[in-house]
Amino acid sequence: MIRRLLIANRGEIAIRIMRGAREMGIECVAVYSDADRSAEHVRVSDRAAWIGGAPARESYLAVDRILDAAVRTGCDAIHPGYGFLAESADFAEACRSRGIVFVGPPPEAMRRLGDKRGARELAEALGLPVVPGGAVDAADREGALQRGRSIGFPLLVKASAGGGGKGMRRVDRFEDLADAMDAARREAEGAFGDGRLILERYLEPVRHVEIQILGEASGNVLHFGERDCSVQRRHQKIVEESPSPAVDPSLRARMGEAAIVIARAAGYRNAGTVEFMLDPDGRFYFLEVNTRLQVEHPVTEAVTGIDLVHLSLREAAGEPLGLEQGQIVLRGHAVEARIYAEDPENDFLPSPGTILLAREPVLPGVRIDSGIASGSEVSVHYDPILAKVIASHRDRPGALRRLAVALESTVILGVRTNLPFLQAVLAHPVVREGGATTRFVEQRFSGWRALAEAPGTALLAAAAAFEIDGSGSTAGVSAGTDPDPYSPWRRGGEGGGGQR
Amino acid sequence: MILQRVYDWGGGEVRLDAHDDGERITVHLDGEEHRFERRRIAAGIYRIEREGEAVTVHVAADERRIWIHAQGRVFQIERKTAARVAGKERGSGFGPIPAPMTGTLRSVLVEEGQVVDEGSPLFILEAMKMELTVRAGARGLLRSVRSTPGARVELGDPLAVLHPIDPEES
Repeated sequence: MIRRLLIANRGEIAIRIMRGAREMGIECVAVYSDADRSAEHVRVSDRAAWIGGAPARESYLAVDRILDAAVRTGCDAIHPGYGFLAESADFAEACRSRGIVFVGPPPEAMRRLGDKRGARELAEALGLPVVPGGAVDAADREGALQRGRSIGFPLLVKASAGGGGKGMRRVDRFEDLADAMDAARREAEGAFGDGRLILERYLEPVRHVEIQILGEASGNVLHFGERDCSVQRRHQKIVEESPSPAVDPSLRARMGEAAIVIARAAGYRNAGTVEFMLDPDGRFYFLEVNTRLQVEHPVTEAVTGIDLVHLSLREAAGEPLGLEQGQIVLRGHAVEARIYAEDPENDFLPSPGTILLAREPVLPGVRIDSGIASGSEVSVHYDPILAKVIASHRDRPGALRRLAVALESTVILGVRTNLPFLQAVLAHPVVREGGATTRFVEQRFSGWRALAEAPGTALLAAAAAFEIDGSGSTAGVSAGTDPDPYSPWRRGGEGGGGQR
Repeated sequence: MILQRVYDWGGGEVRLDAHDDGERITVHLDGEEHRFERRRIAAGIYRIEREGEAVTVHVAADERRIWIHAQGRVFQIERKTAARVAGKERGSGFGPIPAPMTGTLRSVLVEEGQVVDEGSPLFILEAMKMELTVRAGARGLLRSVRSTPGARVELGDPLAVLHPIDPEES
């Protein structure tokens, strides 16, 4: 039984975990850096602990600071969310040695699977199909280059410790390999503190299909069906759905079994995801294991009706889940779109700044996991994800229509977002037909621009009315003067930092 | 209340002259008059109506621009007097080299007074764990090089100034 949980993360995932924990009667403690003093995840928390400076290394990646905060606030468990320390076996071990429950797999399983190199080798040993390629020693530059040449192009340079598209680069020509390895290593070192690399043949056309799993202390592993995350830009998923338009019950059972085999062999526990590539002939290749709760877990929750955060917390506490594989059934369809603070017309460059006004729609069949509100600062220090919009319906076209309406009704002013891009992607016939592969965005949307259209006079009238009401002030709506009346989290800021 | 403004939108200039009594707003634009009923629903949320057709509009503003969300889309109206991002248009490649995004100056790959070729990497910027290499837009001589790795830079801040090479010198 967990009594008090420290959430070692920020943004939408911290808020989502807080909600799940509260539903189970668990008290929550948020953490924050200098840059996040008035962040939404702090504002909605019951209690929050300062952990350090704005750079992640000084706060969200600082193992000792987080553990000290947990001890100081009397927490008996830590949920790492995704990113930051979520896949750090050292962190999981440090939790264990301080007598704190780490909500996630045991460090031994993380080491075996979280490391892409180890996971590949284990999958091969278990007879699972893998993509041609393998690990390289980045320090042995010449050897690494030769290895790349023998694998062939196009190939993918990946961080061994990576995830979320960070430290990942596609290379089409041998001449570009050295630069790509250098950049990938730097990015990987910055993001994960580990610069080891893997080179892998880049297969196409393929879909990215992944299986959600959850392992129990008994050694039993359950799977929760698949998610299709083929709509990606620069290896970063932007739209995910479950079920996959390309997976039938028999393929689902085979992929599920493959995922269970590798998880069981590694002694996996708690929530995780086994990623595969799926080719047009229905052959799948093991890609990697993400030893954590994933960004896109809500689509699985929507079609299974199972709350994965609840299950993770119960598993971590050593409680029996009372769930059998046969009870996990996918019903209907769910699609998620990720909203990022980035400029789709300027090479998706991050677009930090102040959110002047944010409003989320309240619609049936639509779930919004958001980390922002009016007045939030989008910092240069962290991942630019703002919110996820998940729509579900009994069938796929219905879910897509719901998502389109939800995105149209989502208001975010003050920073550029990828909302118009998501709208265009979701309206594309290839997506509507369920035919997207991992290169879809690159092939159909490179150099994309929103339709340029002058605002009508009604909008100019609105701008003028707004300026007149503001009595000529140039200040926009800020959180201080206008607590967002639409935020689902307006239940009073007990502690947490108030409205500023 | 009377409001006179010059806005920039999509490269074009909009001269706006509005009269507002809190319920009706009249906008004069290019010699034409447009009348609307206007209702403020909440801070930043307006309902603008003309001849029985209404649109709900969300509005917010910062120093540089007015942001408007209407019918599922976001519009940005630049304030004419606002500071403009330097060197947004490509042009010759000479002049100030603006930071293409707000972030941290990760590496400075060049030195003051260095001659660089078109496409040479000059700086590596990092924001949100993403790296971006800033390259020279033309062959030229670098002056006023920002040389503090780790420094925070804002979108549009000049990182260096690229000068044409004097043909008599080279």
